[in-house]
Amino acid sequence: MEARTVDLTVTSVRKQDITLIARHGIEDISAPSGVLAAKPQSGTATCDLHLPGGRPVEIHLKLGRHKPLDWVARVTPS
Amino acid sequence: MRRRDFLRKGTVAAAGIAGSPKLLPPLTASESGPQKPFQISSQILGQTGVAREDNRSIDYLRRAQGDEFLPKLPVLAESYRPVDVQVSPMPLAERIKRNIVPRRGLCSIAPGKSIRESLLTGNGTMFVELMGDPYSEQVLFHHESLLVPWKRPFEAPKVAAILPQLRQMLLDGKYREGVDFAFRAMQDAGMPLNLFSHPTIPAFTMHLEFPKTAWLKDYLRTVDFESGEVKVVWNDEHGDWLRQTLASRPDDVVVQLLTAPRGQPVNARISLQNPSMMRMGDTAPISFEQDCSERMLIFACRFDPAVDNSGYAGVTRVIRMGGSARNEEGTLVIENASSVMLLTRIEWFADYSQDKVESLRLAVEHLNPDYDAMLERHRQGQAPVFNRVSVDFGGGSQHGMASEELLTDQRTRPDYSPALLEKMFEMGRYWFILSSGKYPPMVAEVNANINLQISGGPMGGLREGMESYFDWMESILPDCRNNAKNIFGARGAVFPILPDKGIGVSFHYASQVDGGIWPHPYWISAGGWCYRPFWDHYLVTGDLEFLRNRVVPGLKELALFYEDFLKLTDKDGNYVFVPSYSPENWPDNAEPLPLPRWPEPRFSFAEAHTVPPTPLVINATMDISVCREVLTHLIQASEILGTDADSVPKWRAMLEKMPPYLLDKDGTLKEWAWPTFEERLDHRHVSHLYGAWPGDEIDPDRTPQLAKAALLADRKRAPETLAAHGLCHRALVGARLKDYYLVDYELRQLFEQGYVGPTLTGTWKLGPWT
Repeated sequence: MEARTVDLTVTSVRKQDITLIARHGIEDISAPSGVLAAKPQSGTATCDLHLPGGRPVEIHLKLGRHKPLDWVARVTPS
Repeated sequence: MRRRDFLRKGTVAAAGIAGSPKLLPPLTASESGPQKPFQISSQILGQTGVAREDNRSIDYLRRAQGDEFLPKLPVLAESYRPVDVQVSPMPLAERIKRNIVPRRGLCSIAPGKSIRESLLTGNGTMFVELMGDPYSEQVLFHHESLLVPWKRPFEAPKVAAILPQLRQMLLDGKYREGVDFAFRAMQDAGMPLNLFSHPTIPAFTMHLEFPKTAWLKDYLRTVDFESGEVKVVWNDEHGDWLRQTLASRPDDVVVQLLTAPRGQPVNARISLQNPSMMRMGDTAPISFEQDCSERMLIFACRFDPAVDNSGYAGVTRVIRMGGSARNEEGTLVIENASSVMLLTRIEWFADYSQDKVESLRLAVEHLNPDYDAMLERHRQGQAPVFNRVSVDFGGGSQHGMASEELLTDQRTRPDYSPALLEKMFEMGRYWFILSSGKYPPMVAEVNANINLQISGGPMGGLREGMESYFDWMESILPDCRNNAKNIFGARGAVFPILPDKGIGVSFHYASQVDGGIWPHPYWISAGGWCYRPFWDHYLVTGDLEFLRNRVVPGLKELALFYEDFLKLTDKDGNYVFVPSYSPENWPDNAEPLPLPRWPEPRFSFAEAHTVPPTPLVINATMDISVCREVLTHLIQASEILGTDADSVPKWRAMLEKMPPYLLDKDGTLKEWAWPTFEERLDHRHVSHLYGAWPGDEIDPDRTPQLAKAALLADRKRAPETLAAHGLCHRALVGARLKDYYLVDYELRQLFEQGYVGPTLTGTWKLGPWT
């Protein structure tokens, strides 16, 4: 994890659009042509992907340094 | 220094801890003079990514360690222990040199001392546990169907008539009276208090005795997760010994191969012994028969003929290369063989007969005893399933380290041992595969907690084992319909707390001195929890036929029950779940004035609970969550499939009437959505967090307020017992809520405080019941 890189292979049983969430933040992401809906802004936690059906997709992530629990601080006090 | 580099060096050092009779490397280093100080992980020093060396100077260490009043160097206590055979483990360097540790597997450097430290292999139908003792081996054989039989017909107590009165009692705050009233009705209906589930029993124990030598060295036992092969190796004055065990799925046989050093004989005494009776006592008469010849050992068992005609038999065929064999009062004595192979198959018979035992014997007789061929056939089936999902935390640099060494490594470092994490992940998959046959993985008492054991199945790509689970759940539906009818007067299905092999009857309610009062027949959420993996399977596979034919019919049974059960509403028009039970916990103030002794003396003193909890109350959060989930999934499935359009408005209307979850003053999610109940936090379960795990209605993105409330509830829990499933459950909830602190806290307890043994199997609980 110190290198903060993740190599991910995803095979979707059907063609679908998904949201990849990395709460540490996504500093950089690369994937085969047509998979990334749009290059996310560095540091954001989410990235929309177009997954083909039945075909492995290799995704390379460089994670950021956000704390996954940061969302708690932003919850409106109840 | 890069972390991987550290690990590589640390591996060799740490492996020496248990691989040879020396002390912890850091201790040795610091006490044996001014050597180069031991290096520590970058994790200790922050996130700089660069590990610094020990900052104590050589001069300082020389001064500190030169103190004339320091104690002598400690020595291993083991050297004082009287043992008849001194066992020295195979050093790490030798393991690496021989390439003896499976890439996907584990190794251990000492024989098991108890069954908890045994090695496992299995083919779904049968599995064995073996200690790996070179000279006095015990192998416990199991068959998945060996359950002390229930006498049928057998169904849930017919107590539906009391439901209106019971509800009124609970709504009036007479919780203890309500439980007492319900328990008496169940007894009157013929269902005894404290009736326990029937135990699963082992088939038999195989004892193998060999001539001992005074010492042995280079001991190692290994498990290959891809093939299921267990090996035990050692060296003594005769040379290198090898013992292999395999449970083949294609050949349906357990194979043991005993190989002597070149030019040396195998001399062995082999016997089969009765399994432990444990809880069965007088209630389950079982008769055993044995037969022993120089070519065959047969073990046959009849269960109580007053219950049914079931039984089982195990046949062990002996294939000896050279030497001689004789029967010595039921013990097979083998002398001067060059190798011995044992082929064992166990079968369970619903209708036992000698003819069936004979057929089994003939089938084993016809097996082709080619060990390598059987191993390869099994590997070809198991390896692809095992390898469908893998993780890589960088543990490759620790390859060769034994489980004992990895556990010590974990306990002496501030971060996580990457190889240990990988091995634990792999061991979970291996265990799931080896114990998935007709039934999903289950041993001994089966509890709805099996959901914890199989929850990773859909995402882990373990579809064969999950298919067993789905079949099993569907097979008990007729009993579950009777549960709904007999206990609640309702249509649909209610699943029991203790589903069993072929049994879905809700029978268990208990009042025990050391336990509590458990009104399990009124726990209505088991069904939704049991059907959650069905939904997960659909989500993972997108299999619309599975959704149509297997998910929706089950969910409809559950929804039908809710339709009949939810008849009361509060002043706001929301449903009132009554009776309602949050498993094994109770509101702190549900019964402010406990009776001196309860239940009333109608029950024996041993069954009385002097300060009884009153868990049968109103609006358990779990009941609401599970009902919401069942209805939500049904509506979603109907929309996906384009079916049941006429029922969707009804299910939507029911969802509208679900009571809201309640928060405590500090924002914690309450375990009961009933305003007068106070939380009881010292409990191992977190049933009210079902919506975070295994459910998914609570998450930080869609429901941030609820997610924060669930996170607070998870962190505030102070378990009253050291149950491993409680740690796992809270960690899983923490993971869903991205609470890395709690995940870390629970995982460390699991790995570092004795829950995990040297063969990476776990115990359900620490303490006197372990």
